[in-house]
Amino acid sequence: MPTTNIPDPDHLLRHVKSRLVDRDPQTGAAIGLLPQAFELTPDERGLSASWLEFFGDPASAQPAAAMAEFAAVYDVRKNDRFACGAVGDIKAACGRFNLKVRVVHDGDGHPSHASVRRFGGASLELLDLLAAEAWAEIVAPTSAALQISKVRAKAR
Amino acid sequence: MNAIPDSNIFAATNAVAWPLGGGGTFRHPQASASAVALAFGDPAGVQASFQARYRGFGSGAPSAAVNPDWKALPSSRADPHAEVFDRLIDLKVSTATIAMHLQDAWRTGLFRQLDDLLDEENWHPGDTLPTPDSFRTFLRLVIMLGRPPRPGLGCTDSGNILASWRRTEDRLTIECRLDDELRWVLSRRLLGETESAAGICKVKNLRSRLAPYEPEVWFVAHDKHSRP
Repeated sequence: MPTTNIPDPDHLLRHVKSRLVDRDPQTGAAIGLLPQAFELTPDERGLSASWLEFFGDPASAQPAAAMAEFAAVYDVRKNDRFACGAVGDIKAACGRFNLKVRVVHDGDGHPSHASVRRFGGASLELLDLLAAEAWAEIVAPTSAALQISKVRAKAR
Repeated sequence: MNAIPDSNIFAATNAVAWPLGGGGTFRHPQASASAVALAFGDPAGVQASFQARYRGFGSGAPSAAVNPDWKALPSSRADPHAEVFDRLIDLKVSTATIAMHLQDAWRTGLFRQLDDLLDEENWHPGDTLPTPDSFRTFLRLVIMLGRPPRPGLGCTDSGNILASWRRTEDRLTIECRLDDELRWVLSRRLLGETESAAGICKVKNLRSRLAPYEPEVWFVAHDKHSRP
């Protein structure tokens, strides 16, 4: 599938496993994301996410649609979270650390799949900045996404 | 801490034995019976959960009378849920070896965090479990820091424990690696400016590396529940 650049005002939604969610040590409530939520694994070419505007209007329904699509392919657990950030903010944060990334839609694995390319040299400080500011809005998985994930797991 | 009767300690150690070893007398390499008792604030509860998971293996020696099929049961390593549970117990037992450095409430809180981290409902099958080596580094970090408030806990893709402290805009995240190595990153508001820094060092050198950023903001307890 050919790749296209995603405009700066658009948004990315990235799945974050529970173990990479920063939690209040007293209450266990999710209070943010750990920097390592944005660390590339050795086999990752770019930082994976879903492109929210891929789902069209209304904007308020986009996160739920993206989560449902993601859950049809990957495991989503109740205490996992999704991180939302604007493409322009993500690129600006990377630029502060001299990383000129490309944010593209490639549909790899699921139709709305997007990737932050040229992210390989990201420093730990950049990951921390993404987790705390540029890509920091956290959203709990919808019950529909959890249900889809459960059904898929049972079918395996 | 309340005294725990020897019979309960025996039951707890036996309860640990069967899922891990499948037979014989269990002795955790790092834990005495009293350490296991410390690890399980509620041995009866732990035993009950073991019994629920491993029917017929919960107390006393396994026998065909209790469970005729016990020899045919797969080892815990073949069951990902059991593997997660075994690791949870390993980490708690490791904690018990330094229990004298921790207040009961701090240790209980840490155990609750470990329960959440390794909750089988939320742990993704196939993910690398927190490694005992990394957890040992975490415990040494806690001891070295003296009396830090309890941090948030996480785990990297490679099984390294993550400890995080937040105080309004100020945040510190430390990855605990093998052999006392720490990989840390911080953001700190000082004199109206936000500074960030990152580094790698040994546990024993962390305080001096963080000193320019006035780390007391993270390491001085602000309420009675978070003191170790």
